[in-house]
Parts: sequence; C-alpha cells; structure tokens
Amino acid sequence: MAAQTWLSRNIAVYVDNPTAMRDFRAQLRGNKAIALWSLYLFVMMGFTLINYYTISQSGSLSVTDIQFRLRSFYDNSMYMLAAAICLITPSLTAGSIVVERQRKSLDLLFSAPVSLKGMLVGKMIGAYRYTLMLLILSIPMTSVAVVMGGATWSDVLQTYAILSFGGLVLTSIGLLISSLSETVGAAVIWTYLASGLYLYGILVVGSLAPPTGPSSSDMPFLLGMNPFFAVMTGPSHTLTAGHEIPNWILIGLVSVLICRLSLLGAASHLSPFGSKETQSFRIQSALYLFAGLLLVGSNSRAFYDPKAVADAVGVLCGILIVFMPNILSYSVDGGKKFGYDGPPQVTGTFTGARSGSLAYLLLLWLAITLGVFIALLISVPNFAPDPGSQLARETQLVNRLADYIPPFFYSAVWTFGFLFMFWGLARGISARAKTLKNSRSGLICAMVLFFGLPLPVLSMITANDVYRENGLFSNHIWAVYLAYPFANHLATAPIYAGLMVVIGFAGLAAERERLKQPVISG
Amino acid sequence: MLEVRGLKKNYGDLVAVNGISFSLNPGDVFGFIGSNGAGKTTTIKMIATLIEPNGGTALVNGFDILQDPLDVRRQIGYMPDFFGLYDDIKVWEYLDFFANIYGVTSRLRPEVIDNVLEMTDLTVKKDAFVQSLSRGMQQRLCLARCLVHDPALLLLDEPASGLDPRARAELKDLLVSLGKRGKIIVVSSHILPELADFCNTVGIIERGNMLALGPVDEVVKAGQAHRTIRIRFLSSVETAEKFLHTQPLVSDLRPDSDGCLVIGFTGGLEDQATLLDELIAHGHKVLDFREEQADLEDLFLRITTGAVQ
Repeated sequence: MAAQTWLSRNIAVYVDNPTAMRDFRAQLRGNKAIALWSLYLFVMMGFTLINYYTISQSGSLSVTDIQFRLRSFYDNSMYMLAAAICLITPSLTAGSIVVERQRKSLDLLFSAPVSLKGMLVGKMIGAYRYTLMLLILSIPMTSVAVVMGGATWSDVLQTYAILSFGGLVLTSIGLLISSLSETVGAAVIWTYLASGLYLYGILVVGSLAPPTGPSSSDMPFLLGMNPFFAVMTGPSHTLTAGHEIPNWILIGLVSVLICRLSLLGAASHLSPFGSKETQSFRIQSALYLFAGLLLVGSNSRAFYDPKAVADAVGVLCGILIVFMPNILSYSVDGGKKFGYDGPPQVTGTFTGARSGSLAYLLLLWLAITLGVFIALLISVPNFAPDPGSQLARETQLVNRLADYIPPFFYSAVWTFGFLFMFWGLARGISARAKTLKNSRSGLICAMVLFFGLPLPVLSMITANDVYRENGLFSNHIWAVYLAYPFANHLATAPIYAGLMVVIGFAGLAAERERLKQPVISG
Repeated sequence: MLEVRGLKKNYGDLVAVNGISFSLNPGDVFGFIGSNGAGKTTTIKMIATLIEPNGGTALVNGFDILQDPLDVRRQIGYMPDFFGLYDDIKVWEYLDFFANIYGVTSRLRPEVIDNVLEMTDLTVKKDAFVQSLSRGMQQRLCLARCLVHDPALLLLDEPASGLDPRARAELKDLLVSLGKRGKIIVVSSHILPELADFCNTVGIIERGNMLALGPVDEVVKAGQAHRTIRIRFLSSVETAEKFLHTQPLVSDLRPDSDGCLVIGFTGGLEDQATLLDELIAHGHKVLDFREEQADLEDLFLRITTGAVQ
C-alpha cells in the first residue's frame, strides 16, 4: 500500500506533472517557437560551415594532420554546443518563479494542494526538455564529425550526456535564483552571474585538481561539470575505491545532487518557517558535503600536497560566504522565518531559525573539516612509498601524515574563527537594521570591508616588494590582513582565528546592547 | 463547515488581524466588509493557507489550516482580487492544469472542464486563449478554476471589482446558485448593496477587529440605536416641531432639505402608530409618515471610522 502511494506520488511528480505539461504546451506553440528553433538551427548550420571551411583549407596533408583537423572540427562543434547550453539554459528558468510571483499566479498554486517539489520538478522537466531539444537539433551537425571520422558515436553520446547534465545544473541554479529574486531583471542578471561564477569556479578548482583517473591523461571529472570541458572529460575515467568509473556517470551523479540541493534551496525559500523542505535542505547539504569530500578525497591522488588539504577546507568554508547573509541575517520585518527568535540554540539547527544559524554554520564547518580529515586518513596509507628513501614504509607514512596535519589544523581553526566572526557581526548588524535587506547589505559590506578592500590597498603598497625565499612578502604590512596567515599556511593562523572570534563577540555585544531597547520583536 | 477561531496576524508592530472568530455552515454566503487595509484579504489568505497566522486557527470541514494545510486546500477554492492567468494558454488548458493539480484524473478532466465552463457560461470560449478574454470572462474563468475540484468553501476576494453592471449581475446569480448547492461562500467586497442582496451573513471588519457579525437583518437592526422616521407636513413645520419636542419617545429631531422633519424614535411599532394619531389629533396635517429602512451601507458608515492600518 505504502509502495503504491509512493509510486503514484512519484508518477504525479515525474510523469504526469501538470506544471511540465503546461510549460510544454506553451513552449511548443505558435510561430515564436518555430522561429526560435529555426534561428538556432541556422546559427548551428552557419557555424558548422565556417568550422568545416576552416579545417578544409589546405593542400596535401598527412593522415595524422587530417585526423587532428577532424578532431578539431568535432571539438569546435562541441564547444559551440557548450556555449549554446551555457547561454540558453540559465534563461529557461531564471524568470520562471519570479514571473509567477509578479503575475501573482504563485498564490493560486499555493492555495491548491500542489507540492513544492512537484512544482519545481515540473519547471525543471520543462527546462531540461528544452535542453534536450537543443542537443537533438544539433545531431546533424555532430553527425558530420562522426561521418568524417573526427569522433565516434560513443564520444558524441558521452559528451551529449555531460552537456545535458551541465544544462541541468545551470537550469537548477536559475530556478534557485528565480525563487530568491523579486524582479525578472534581477533574476536574469543574478542567474547569469551565478552561472558564470559556477563555471569559473569549476574551471579554477578543476584546473588545480590532480588527475584522479587511472592514467595521467585522464581529466578530473570535476572539470567536466563545466560544459566547455565536456569534450575533454567525456572519454576519461576516475579511480574510486579501485574501480574505474566513467566520468560522465560521476558528472551525472554530482549534477543530480547539485540540482537536488538547488531545488531544495528554492523550496526552502518558498516554504513557510520550519518546513520539511528547509530541514531536508540543511541536512542534505551537510551530508552531501561530507560524503562528497570523502569520495573525492579518498582517491590517493587527490591530496597530493599538504597545502591542497588545507586549501580544500578554506575554499569550501569560504564558499559559505555566498550563503551567509541568507543564513545569518535577521530583521524586525523578517517575520517568523527571518526574525529574531532569541539567543543561539541547537534546536534551531535544521528549522531555519535564526537562533540555530551558528549551530548550522558549525555543522557545515564540521562536515567540511571532518570530510577532508577522514579522506586524508583513508588516502595516506595508499600513497606510493618513496623508492629512494631508506625509511620503512610505515615511517614514511607517519612522516607524511605529520606533514599534512599542521596546515590542515591551521586552516580548520582559521575558518572556524572566520565563520564565528561573521556570525557575530551578522547578529550585531541585524539588531540595528530596520529591514532584512539592510541587514543583509550590512553583512555584505562587512565582508567587503574585512576581506575585499584590504587586498587592492595592500597590493598597491607592496607592489614593488620582493618575495622572500618562502614565498612571503618582505613587507610585514600584510600581517594586518586577516586572511594572510590562512593563505600562506602560517602557524599564526590560530592567533588570527582568536582575533576574529573576539570581533565576533564584539558583534554579539553590540546586539545585546541594542536588544536592551525594546525594538526587536519576533 | 468553516470555523475561524481567534485568527491573528501581525507584521512587526502592525496588527493586521486581531483575533477574529466566526463560523459558517454549508449554504452560508458570507459578506466580508471592510475598508482597504481593514484585514479582509489577510484573513482570507490565512484561511487559504497562504499566510501563516501568528495566533488562532481555522478549521475547514474539520481540517486545521496549520496542521493539515494540504487537506484544507482540497476543500477550498480561492479567488484572489487579481486574475493570475498564464499567457499562451487556452481556456480549457488553464482549467486542465488546475484540475490536474487538484488531482482530478485525466479520464474525468474533460467532463469536469465542460461542466464548469457551462456553469460559468464560458463554453463558447473553450478554445480561446485566456489573454483574449474580456475582464468579465477572465473573472468567470477564475471562478471556473475554483470549481474544478468541487470545493466545499469558496473564498472570493473582491470578485466583482472592475466588472460592468451586467457582469456583476451574472456573477451575483452564479454565487447565489452556488450557495443553493450547499457551498460555503466568503465574499469580500466594497459594493455593499450588492452584498446585501445575496449574502445571508455579514461581518464588518476594521483595523483587524470584527465590529459586527451575523445575519444581515440582525446586524442591521442591532446597529440601529433608534428608528428613524421622516414626516412631511402640509401645515407649519415649526408648530409640529414644538409638539414633537414634548413627546418622550422622540430622541432626536431635525428638519431636512426637503422641508420634512426627521426624528429619532425609540419606541416600537405601536408607539409609532400612537404618535401619528397624536399628531393628527393635535391638528397637524401629515402628508407622509414613514420609517426609513437602514441598510448595510448606513450601518457600515455608522460603525466604522474609515481608519486603516
């Protein structure tokens, strides 16, 4: 009986979804749709002709040259497709929620027994169907590459799968931003900014990541999360627990998880205080973070450098900056969801209550540090021993672990101080702000003040300085920058963490002072 | 049955709805009256589970708006004071979309859509695009949407706003027929004479407080401190005025612009007849003697101050 209910509920969400059906009818109707698809085909056709013309301009060529050119033809076609995916897919969902909110049809939906999951999944299905249409319409173009011998159908299918996953992630980002935005313009701008940031972040992190495949030519699957690298990561594999897993499968899994988290984030924002969507979002975000780090980090090639371990903790905690205003700030106009509800409490960790924001932030911090640390413990015994060393393998491993622990510890402690500082500042600023918008803006300003502004100023002052042997600046003025010991893995990081905790307490003192006046109400 | 128990909503320091309570039975057509910002829409939205109350609750056929919001939504049809229509979609597709959301099976949907279109007189517009409909038709389409799942309670927020007189009359007839079918209808409106025509219960709200509540006649009567009688004389008004001043049941007396005397009278019907006898007996030539009937509008203007949040 329970299985039948579960099945019928999921059929209603994934198969007979009313939102997807409505979008489908509107998407494929009228001259506008025909004109858009025709335009897309003409652009693709034009590009293919130019691409072909570029590779065919020469006289006699060796077989290798011809092979190289055909492969270039295929690669360029896929880059073009990736560009189309990156440009078109974010816009498919960027306005979807905000338009409903402006048209006030969202109220009609929420007065009906529609689940948030059903509505959001319906919008995703509509957008993903559009992405698939983009890929299907490009088949004639890629067929040329296959027929000429530039690629195999296997390559094409793997790359298409990765491209479609990329489209899925970008549309889910669009949906998340749309649920947070108040105007269509803002939603579109922020969606493209967030998508750009995501693609750039993948590029940076993926470039720094070591090869995790069975051979050094295998691209890390992380890089494939960016559609522009689909063609390169498609044929690669990743070594996980001794098994070679095709990258497109891992990319698909991670994309679905990112998509799920984005949808849960959107649902959490659209739902009332303490909803199960908020609880699921908070639990699953910590869980995925921990599991993901464990999965990636346990690969023996992932933590090739002690500093990479420390950086992983710092970078991941740093990403939380983006979400901090939403997690921490409160205001008198914030209602039950974003209003003041008393001093910190563990009970509010998953409900989204402001009193639980510190506990939730620390949970994420714990998920990151523990995830990295446990992954490190798992991966270290798999390191290949140094053949030139006279020491026993066990001693080598202990020494190696000893190299990793200090920078990891500095990083973990520093990020704790960093998070605590912004929590305290957020409380202090929120207590004095009259609106939620002011409260969040204030926190963003504090972030810029502490970590953004000093960078160009100090860089200008020390522009002509020479580096010391250890890579640090010879001018000690950089010591005033709170992130300096963290960025350089210095043993002074815990001292800076202490300083940041003090700043956090100053924020709390400011809040307490303000709360003595009867202004804040729940 | 709808039972509202002490519903309360605050926005910071602003009290939008201050613990209002009422209950309605099947067939009741409840007119919810109040100025803009009085708290009507907030109350309706709380019953529709769109806004979470700060206190109190409401039960719709036994389902609590806080505990069982999804079950409550299955029982209600909510029509806001805006259309919320989608573009590039046909009338039947719009209804099909909502029928699907409300769980009407794909086998039953065509029949349900035909029925609600017939009920709202939109059958001829079944294949038209919603944006091509007139305002009155769009309003009826919204009502049709509310009916696709045969709800027990209809929450209609300003359904007649912006409609021409014919469309209003048609809407009124439709609501009356729905009330006769046993649905509970909550209608908020500014057009009080129309509400009085088809509502059997009214509630007057101001600054989040329910000032008056009950059957229309009782509320109007309860709102009157005394009867108002208009008397036209053929003879001198001054002498009649002097006489009326001596009568113990006449509480208030003033001449109006038509040369009549308007008196406040605290007695009953028998006393009215006696007063008329006395006037004639004292030689006053009475041309017209009638009690003025108070209506909802009078009552509304008398008991409200026009203050908003």
